[in-house]
Amino acid sequence: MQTKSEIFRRVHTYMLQQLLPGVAAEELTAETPLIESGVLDSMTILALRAWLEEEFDIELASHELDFEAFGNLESITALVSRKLTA
Amino acid sequence: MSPSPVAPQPAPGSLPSFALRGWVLLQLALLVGVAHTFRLETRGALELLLLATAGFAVYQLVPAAWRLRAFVALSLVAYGQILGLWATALLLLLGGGVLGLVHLPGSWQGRLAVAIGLLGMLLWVRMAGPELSDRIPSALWPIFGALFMFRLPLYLEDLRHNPEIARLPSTLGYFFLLPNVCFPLFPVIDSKRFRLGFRPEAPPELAQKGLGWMLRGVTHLLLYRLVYHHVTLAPSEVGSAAELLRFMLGAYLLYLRVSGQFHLIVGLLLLFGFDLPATHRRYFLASSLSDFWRRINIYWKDFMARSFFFPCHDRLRRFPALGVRGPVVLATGWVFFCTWALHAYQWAWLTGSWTFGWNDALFWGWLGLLVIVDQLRDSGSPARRLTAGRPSPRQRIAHGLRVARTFLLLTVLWSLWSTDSLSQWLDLWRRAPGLAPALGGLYLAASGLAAWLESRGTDTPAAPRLRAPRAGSFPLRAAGTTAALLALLALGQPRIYGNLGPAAAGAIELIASSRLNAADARTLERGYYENLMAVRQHNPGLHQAYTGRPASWLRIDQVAAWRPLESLRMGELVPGADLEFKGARLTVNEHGLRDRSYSLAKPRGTVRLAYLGSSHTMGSGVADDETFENLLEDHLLRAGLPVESLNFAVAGHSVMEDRIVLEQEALAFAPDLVVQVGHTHDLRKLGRYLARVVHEKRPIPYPELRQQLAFLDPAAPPRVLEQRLRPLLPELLARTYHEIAETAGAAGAEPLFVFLPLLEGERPREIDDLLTRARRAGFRVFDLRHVYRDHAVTELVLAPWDYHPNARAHQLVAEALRRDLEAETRKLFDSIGADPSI
Repeated sequence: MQTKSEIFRRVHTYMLQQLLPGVAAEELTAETPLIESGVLDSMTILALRAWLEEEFDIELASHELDFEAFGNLESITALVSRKLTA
Repeated sequence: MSPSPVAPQPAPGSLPSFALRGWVLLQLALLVGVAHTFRLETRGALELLLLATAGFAVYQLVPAAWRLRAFVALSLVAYGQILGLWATALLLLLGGGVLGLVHLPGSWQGRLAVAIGLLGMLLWVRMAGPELSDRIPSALWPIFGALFMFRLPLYLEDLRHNPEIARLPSTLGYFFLLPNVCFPLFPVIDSKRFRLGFRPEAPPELAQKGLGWMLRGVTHLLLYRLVYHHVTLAPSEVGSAAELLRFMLGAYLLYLRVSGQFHLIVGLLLLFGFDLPATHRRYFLASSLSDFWRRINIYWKDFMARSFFFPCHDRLRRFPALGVRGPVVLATGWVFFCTWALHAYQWAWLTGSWTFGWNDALFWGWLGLLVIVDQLRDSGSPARRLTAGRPSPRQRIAHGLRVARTFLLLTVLWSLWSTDSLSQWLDLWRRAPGLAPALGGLYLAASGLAAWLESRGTDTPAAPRLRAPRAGSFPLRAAGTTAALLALLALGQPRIYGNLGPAAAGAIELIASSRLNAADARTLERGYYENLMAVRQHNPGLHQAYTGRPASWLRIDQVAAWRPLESLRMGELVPGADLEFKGARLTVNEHGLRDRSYSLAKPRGTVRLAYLGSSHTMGSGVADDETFENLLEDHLLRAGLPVESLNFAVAGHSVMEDRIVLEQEALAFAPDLVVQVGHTHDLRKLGRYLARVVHEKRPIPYPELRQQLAFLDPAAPPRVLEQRLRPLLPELLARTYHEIAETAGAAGAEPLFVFLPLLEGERPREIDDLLTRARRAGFRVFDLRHVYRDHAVTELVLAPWDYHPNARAHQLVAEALRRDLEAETRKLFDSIGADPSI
């Protein structure tokens, strides 16, 4: 079972590599607003969802693709963790 | 909810919380002052702001646990105050019934089916009109629709995954949202966002952020008025490339009213602890259509993504044959189809009629198609290719070019949405040959240059700011907002703007006046949102609630002094009627004229004047002796001229009815002067009148007119007929004027035309066009366009909700006409050889 910090680290790395290349790691924190800052929109959420499902072998429902779950790295981590323990 | 950039605790050494809240209250009071000074939106909106200010003060004293209940109570008080107790009670009953039914035990699908069924049934009742719903105040329907049409399904979706949310205060708070009572066109607030965003112990910084948004909203609304008065053109006014550009620009910029209202609405909710995201984000600066879709009406975009895009994509991605892009393209197409359909649904709820025009479908179709193209272009790489650092000058220029071309494209698309039909839109381009290729060339040049600039460098677009913007010092933000509000308040004072020079003072006066119906003729052609917000046109009941117009303030066709006719005249005044009309005594003489008593036979040695016109001439809202027609008669009599002045004007008359009155009634009185009083809205009134004539299949005794109208199908709704008639109206108006002048002349009467301005304001060009028509028709013209110039409009109107001239305005008109009419009358005495002293 992966810990929350492990999940966070992997999502953080994915975000920096795929969505924010060149951004310093410390710039992207657990609380960085991802939707309000424009990092995530419908299209990037779809890309991130596909990656999360494949990487963690989970399935995300469409109603989970919202501001509550994808608002920041902390909420994404919590979502993945919840799915893994379900 | 994403954390909002507000500081949870005041920094050490900062002002105590109560002082900060007091400062917010002070700014709110200033904002109410600005709204009052500039007469922003309606009187109902001002009442709402006043209630919100008082409510905000009380709210600070309420324990946190009770704040949601306090918000609900304040909302219901506002509904009762603005809509009236009866309408509010019905709204609660109806809304409560719907909510009760959807909370009955059962599956989610069952509940959704019940909700859709109920909304459909109620919409059918609403559309069925007075036959089924005459006991229900008309103001109720748009508000009910605004509360439930989108929020009910969103609430059910939230309830499906979070059954614990079914609690009375939060449910009532979500549906009966405070600002909704005055703003039927409302952002689609998500149930989950609303629920999770509520912070009963929100710091004053959140309220300050709300005030900042409200100030932005006020600014948008003031800019909207500037655009409304100085930029917009009706399609019929477009005759050159420059005018077409102006029409397109005006049509797009009018959206400022929507963003202004939405900022006010959400800012107001922030004051009460609802931490909601922005509704718009610098949408005029979008760099692509996808970017535009993300920036404009963000709540709608989120609603579409959550309710249509993701669920549709979810289903389609199960089909491998569609690949990765297929589901995205199809889901995006589905979103735009639903957006089009739901805009028609929204229109039906708010206005009570359907709108399924080709231009709506084409607008959303094109926008959807172009957004899909954008998405396909961007989907080459899953990464956004964002990087840190400041953009290079090359990037800035490329970005600016993309913003410019997107703006250009949107003005073109918006103009399509703002015309009545595709053929009308194409006709506009035909009037400006060469503009389409020029704009196309500009678009391609901007796109090409931007792409070339990017290809020349290796730098990539800059990343968005990842760190949450710092909350900033409360005093600094509050000081900025306070200063801006004080500046606006000062700018709206005549003592101050009077010193800024005539041009600036005129512009500010126009913005500060609520002459939002300056040319009603154009209102019908101003696009989806403009028409949706024109409550006056589609819901008189709601208009009454918002403006404070008393229920006893009726139109002439609603009082006993008027009776309908089956002929080409819609109606006439009832001989002998004597009643109070719009607060003043109105008596009708034995001949059916709003005038003194006269014999049919003209007394020897008397000069007779016959006035033709509508409400301004009849004297709606002024006493019998206060009409300019009677004041002029009194003056001429005092000057020793034995005249009889007969007022044949009837409120609501079109010029066609004036012609009929002249032929069938006025000539029998043997007038020596026929005075046709005209306004710029004569053109629109003629169109509305003829549409009704055709629709009601009234007999048309004039063969030429009958032939001209033969192409119209009486089965078509009057609005459609009116639109089809528009191209013919200038000629029809000119011909009717000509008939009046010719008929008067043939009967030995001198035809005079008096142009009387509307207090709502009008455009010089329209006045010039009207006077040219009158002159060509054979009238001698008296141009009174400046008659009200030295007076504030508020001094001259009957009431804030009724811009007919009051007694003072009638005096001004009489004074302006006195000398000319006296000279005319004396000339007549000379020509007929009569001695005025007899």
